[in-house]
Amino acid sequence: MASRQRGLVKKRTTWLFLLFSLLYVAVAGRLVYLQVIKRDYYKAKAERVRERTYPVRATRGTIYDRNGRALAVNIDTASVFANTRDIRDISKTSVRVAALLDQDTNVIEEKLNGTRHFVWLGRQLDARIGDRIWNERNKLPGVGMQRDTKRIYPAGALAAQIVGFTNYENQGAEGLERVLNSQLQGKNGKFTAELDSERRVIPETRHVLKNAEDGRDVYLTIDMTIQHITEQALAELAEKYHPRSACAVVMDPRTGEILALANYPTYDPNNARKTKSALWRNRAVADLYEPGSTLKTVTAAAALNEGISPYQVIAHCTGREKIAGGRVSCTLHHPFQNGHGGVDMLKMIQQSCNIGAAHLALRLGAKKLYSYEKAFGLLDKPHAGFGCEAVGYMDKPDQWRPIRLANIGFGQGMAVTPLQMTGVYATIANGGVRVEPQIVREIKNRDGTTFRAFKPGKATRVISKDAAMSTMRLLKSCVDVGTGKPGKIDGRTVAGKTGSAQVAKENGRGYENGTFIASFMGFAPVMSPRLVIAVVVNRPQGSHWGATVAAPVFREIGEKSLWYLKVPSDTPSNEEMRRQENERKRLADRSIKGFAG
Amino acid sequence: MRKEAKLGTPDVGVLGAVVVLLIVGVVMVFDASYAKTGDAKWANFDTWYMAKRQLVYAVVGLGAMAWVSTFRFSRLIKITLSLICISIVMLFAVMIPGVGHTVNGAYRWFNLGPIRVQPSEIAKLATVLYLAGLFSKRRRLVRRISGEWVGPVVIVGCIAGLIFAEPDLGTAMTIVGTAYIMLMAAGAMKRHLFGLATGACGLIGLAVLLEPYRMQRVWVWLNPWRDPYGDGYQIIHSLFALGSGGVTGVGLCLGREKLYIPAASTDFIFATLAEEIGLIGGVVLLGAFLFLVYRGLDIARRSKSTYGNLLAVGVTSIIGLQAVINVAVVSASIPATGVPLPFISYGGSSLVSMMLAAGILLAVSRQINVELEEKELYENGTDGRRDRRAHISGRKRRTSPARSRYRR
Ligand SMILES: [Zn+2]
Repeated sequence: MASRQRGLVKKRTTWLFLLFSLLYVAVAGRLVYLQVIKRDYYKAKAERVRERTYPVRATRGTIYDRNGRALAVNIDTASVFANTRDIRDISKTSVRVAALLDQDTNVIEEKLNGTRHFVWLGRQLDARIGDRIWNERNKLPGVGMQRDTKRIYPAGALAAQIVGFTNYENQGAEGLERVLNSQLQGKNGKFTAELDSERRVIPETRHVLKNAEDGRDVYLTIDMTIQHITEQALAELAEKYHPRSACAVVMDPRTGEILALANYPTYDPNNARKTKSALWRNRAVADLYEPGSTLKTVTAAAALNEGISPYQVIAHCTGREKIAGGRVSCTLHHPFQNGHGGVDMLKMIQQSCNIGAAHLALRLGAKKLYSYEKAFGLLDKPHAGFGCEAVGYMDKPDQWRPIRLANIGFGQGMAVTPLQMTGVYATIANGGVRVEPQIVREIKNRDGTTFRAFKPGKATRVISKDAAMSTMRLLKSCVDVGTGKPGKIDGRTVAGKTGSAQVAKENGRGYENGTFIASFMGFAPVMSPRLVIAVVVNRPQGSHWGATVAAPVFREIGEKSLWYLKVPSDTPSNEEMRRQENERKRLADRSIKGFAG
Repeated sequence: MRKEAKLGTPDVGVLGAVVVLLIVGVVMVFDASYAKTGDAKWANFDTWYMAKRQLVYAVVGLGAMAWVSTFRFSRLIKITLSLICISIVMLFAVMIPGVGHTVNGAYRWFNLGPIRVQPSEIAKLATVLYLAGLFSKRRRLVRRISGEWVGPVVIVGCIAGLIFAEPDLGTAMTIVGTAYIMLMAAGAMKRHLFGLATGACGLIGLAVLLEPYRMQRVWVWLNPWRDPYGDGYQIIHSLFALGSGGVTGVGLCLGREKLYIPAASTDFIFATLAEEIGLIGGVVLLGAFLFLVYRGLDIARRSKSTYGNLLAVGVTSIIGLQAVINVAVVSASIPATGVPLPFISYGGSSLVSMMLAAGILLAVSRQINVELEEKELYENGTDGRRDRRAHISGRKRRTSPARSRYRR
């Protein structure tokens, strides 16, 4: 019995070993299958899961003014995100994260409880917050941090509509940030790296495939000081007249460079997303308005270029007149309560006589006037570099009825942008040669070499030099003795023209009652103009006269900017005149005394 | 009572294999854990955190092994009953929330100060001791089905069931498998064994169908990419590790997947080993375990007492089964169950209990020539019914109808 039992046990033990061997060989076979036959498959898959390609972020270029003062720069920030699947305790995590980010716990918890696996908890935060998150990473599974940069605008609201701003992805969203995005953003490079289980990059495995090319720096034609002067002047104006909007453009007529371009109201691009998008609009460039009397300059310049003498009487103004089936009236001030009387071009500009301008337009004819409007650039899209330029609007001349032609003579029944009007005055200031306005002065590579320099735009002669000189004289007399007197700058010779245009109704039929666009445009000094300044005020309250509302702004900008640019004064200032007067009196007194003595 | 025989020399093969596996274990534990512990506050940012502890466990385990290898059969028989009772009580207690320590929803541990005790580890050894005693004492029990099966089936079923409920399917599987193998070794009828195997397969199938989460396990096993960030996550990265390793491996410490595998230093340590030293390393390790199995079964075969034979078969099965189940899980050959790799995986409970098993094997190897008298077994009975069973006539009376029926 016992031996039989022993025999059985021995047999069974041997069988058992065979059974175990079988199990082990089977598992070993499985290993061979996985590690030899399927090796490449799993290896490739593993690498795909472990390895990630990341961009080497290119630094966005800086935006400078013409003197190298920064308008848009980058600062280091951190963005915090969460992979909700990896979070173990949502309420605990949200309390901790909320404390670190200084946000509301409930908001964070709501985000973490959302359906999305990947959520941003905070974007472009202070880099120090990122450091804190990084230090606490072991207590915060599922919460990650990504370093990036953020655009800030050190000058705040200054030139906000020109510069614009970027979105969270550091891509230009508005303004030149958007238009020049391809220049500014540079090219991201690429690196691959393996990730650990927390999806963090293992630093040693970082392998750069391609280096980043940093974005180029952009230098604007803007002068920050003049821009500041301009915005300040608009702000003061706004306090007085509470316009719906206002804008001003300052340009160097010789080169077409825009030294300042301001819009009121404005916004702070550092907090752009919290402001109304209407404020982002660069109205000076993108909004059309009826220029009104400031356009009489074009009519006059055209007539002068056609050889009509500025002293030839072109109309007899009685204040109102039926012309070509329509009604044209003049605004009459003392001493012209009964009409401007016999009007020549000088008087037409000085006193802003609509009837005179209407007759002049009729005399020139539709085709001719139209060709001058076009030559002055009012009907072509300006290529100043803003990317949002609007084109002036005017019917084709063969569709004009005579009354339309008469109206266009003094700037109603058509629409242009303030920038285009600035161009008109710059052309006259430049002796009849039109230079395309521009906002970008230079684009430089990161190493300081010039990538693209913007030469003064193509120059085209619009009117003869003589005609331009004559127009200048008309405009000067307007400021010296005419309606433009409030635009006079002490110690400077100034040429300019006022405008108070009615606002066309949105439906295009007639004009709104009691709303005006007040404007003033001009340049100084007259003999060698350095600055063209255009001020357009939309629906001011209290007064609607260009002379009252816009001219003081022109004077303010002109006076300060010319002083800043160290332009020597070209005419005796009031004080000097007084001194000279006193001197003369003194000498006269002495000579009388001498004779007497 | 006989005079106790002198103990023989312990089996050098078993001893050598265990020591080699221990050394491999400490190295692999360091390798698989340093990157994580060096970055973890709970480990005081200490890259050696786990390796140091594993080394301590190994030393403690060696001591325990040496100690147990001096145990005589009589002593082992004597402690069996209390071990079984302790196991069952602890297995019940660990399920009580607040008493047991829960990790990932599983009640598997007791926290005794700094030490974590896993009752299922003790239960494994207790089951082997119990069954070895039972089968050798009543040899005929295994040859026919009778009412006497109820007791042992209830006890083993209770232990396995409690462990299964923790839930710790892997350990439950090891225990049931070991019981089956011991039944086989004890000389059970082939048709009984076959029937049992069939029944077990049916039960497993039923269990899988009934519990949706088990079904989920099976699905994930069949295709881990169904849930690559959830249940399939660990197994996917384990497969990645094996694949990346290839034949020769990527080199010690150069493995990457250990960063992804949550249980890289415990249940899935084989994945790291296979990634870093490749198929060659994996097969050599399997060979080492098979060698241990061979030595263990050889001890069993040469053992002159049935008790020694069954004991050796039992502890060998535990070690051998657990190793093969572990590697099968890591290689996605069977659904994930979570069994540590004996002597290698990080963890004090598992390591010490495996060392105790090896100690029992060594104890058997030192008592190969002991022929255990049945009388001795009766005197140290394991089920508390010593008095009644002491009557030989009674035993004969109970067994004779069976035999007659058998002969009919
Ligand atoms: Zn008039």
